[in-house]
Amino acid sequence: MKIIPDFIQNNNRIKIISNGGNPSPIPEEWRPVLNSCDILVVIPDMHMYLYDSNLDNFKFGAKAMLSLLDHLETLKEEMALTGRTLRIYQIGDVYEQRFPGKRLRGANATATEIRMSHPEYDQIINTMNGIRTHFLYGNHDFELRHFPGFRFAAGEGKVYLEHGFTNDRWNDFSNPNAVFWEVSQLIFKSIRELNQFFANILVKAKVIAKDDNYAFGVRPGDDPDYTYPPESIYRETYGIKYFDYYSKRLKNIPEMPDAKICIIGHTHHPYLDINFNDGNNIYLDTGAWTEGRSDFAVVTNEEICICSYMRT
Amino acid sequence: MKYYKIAVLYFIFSLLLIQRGCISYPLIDQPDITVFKNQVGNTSLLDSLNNGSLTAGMPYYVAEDIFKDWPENLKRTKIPVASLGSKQMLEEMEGWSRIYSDPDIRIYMDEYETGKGTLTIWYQFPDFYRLDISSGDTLLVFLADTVLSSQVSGLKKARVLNIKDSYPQIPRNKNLYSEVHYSDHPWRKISHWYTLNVLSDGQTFMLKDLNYKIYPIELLELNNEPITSFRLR
Repeated sequence: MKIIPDFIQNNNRIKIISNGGNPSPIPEEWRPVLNSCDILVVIPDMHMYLYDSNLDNFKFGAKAMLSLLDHLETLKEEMALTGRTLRIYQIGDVYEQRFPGKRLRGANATATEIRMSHPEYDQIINTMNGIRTHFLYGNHDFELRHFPGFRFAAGEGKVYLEHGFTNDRWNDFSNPNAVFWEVSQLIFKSIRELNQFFANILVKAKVIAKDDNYAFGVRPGDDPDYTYPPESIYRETYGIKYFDYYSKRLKNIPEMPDAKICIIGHTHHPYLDINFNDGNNIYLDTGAWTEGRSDFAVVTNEEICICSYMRT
Repeated sequence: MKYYKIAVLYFIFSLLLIQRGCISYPLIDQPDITVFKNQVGNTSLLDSLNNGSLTAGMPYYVAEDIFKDWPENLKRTKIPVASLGSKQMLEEMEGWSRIYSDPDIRIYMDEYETGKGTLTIWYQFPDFYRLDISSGDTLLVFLADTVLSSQVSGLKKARVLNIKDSYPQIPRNKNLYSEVHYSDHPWRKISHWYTLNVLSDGQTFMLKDLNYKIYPIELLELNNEPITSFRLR
């Protein structure tokens, strides 16, 4: 199936941002790369947090997300009529559970209180469940590993998916498997509590508006960003540790000896390399649906790309 | 002079008590009747609201509207629970004071301290499996001044059902208020649906996505006793 006629169809809010706005072909000798679906859609980090909080910036892209999910819901039913399958993954950090909770002082935010903080958030999760989205957990919603349906990684034919934190070192403080991670998260939570405390004062003093985002280390989300950042920046920032790690990972997945495509998130930086590992693999970083971005990836047996969903 | 001072003190004390009472239990607000009329076709629910009652079957936003100015210390809202009637919050703890909850919980509870006692409200995300819809039950679809009814022939999915008759006159892409009247259920007689959409064949109905504002209220309790309605005024 082709991405533009079969997936995007007439939806003019979907723009391909990778490869100069065109889908990239998947080498013919690899096909088919999907074994149990015809189109694979991958939604990256959302970091949905309490809607009323200044620290939440998913809210700016929430309506666009509902619109994408509506597109996927209709497409899924249409494809089912012709015996074809659309599969959807959310590859972790759907929630921001590493920020302060609302109900219980001192506790981290829970998935339920985030979801119930706004009708749009509840509807997004309901719709994702309704279209049978597969959820992987990320480092910001690591607690969800306790529940059925949340997994660490997934294989879809020759496509390997995971959130992308496994190669982070201990001093990145973003790998739940690394030493000092728990300690660092407690410190970060205290910083966020201070952050929220001062943000509330600034709101009351009318220095900032209620929706202004002032979370330390998190970019504001009110201005949309549909750009495809320069690939050189990705290579310089993440390439050294990510490329080597996932190159080895793709060769050593016991359940997937013929893995060809690696899809991750985590960095919030969209990137597609169809000549990864000397042309033996494809490496795709899906970007993010937060901090102004609204990226997602689409894979068919013939093509692959990163898209952005326009807010209006 | 002494009696005069005591009388003044009594007067001030009484005023303080009245003030305290007013602060504790503010006036119950009115829900948006226009929105309710546009969404709910059931005349008995509409009559209940017009008569100032909150009853099971109403969409959740009615309760949210009437208690919107309730003081924080007199309410607990959106508490995830395991089942209707349960009051235990579903949250678990592990080391480093981390609390987590199942993101797929679909039943919630609100508790309000009112002048009449503690009002408890349960509401939930419905689907056809969860609400035990089965073949032989009757689906009623409310269209302006018309009510169309047909027996349910079966369920295709948790959110898709078929009926025996076909109604091509029902407009597509419209959220319909509808009810299912049970033929044989141990304790349910009726369930309420706010976002049913008909598909092109006129006999397949899909439950569209909804959010907690239009989850139906399933159960009401006042001072731990089940009630059929709660008087607003």
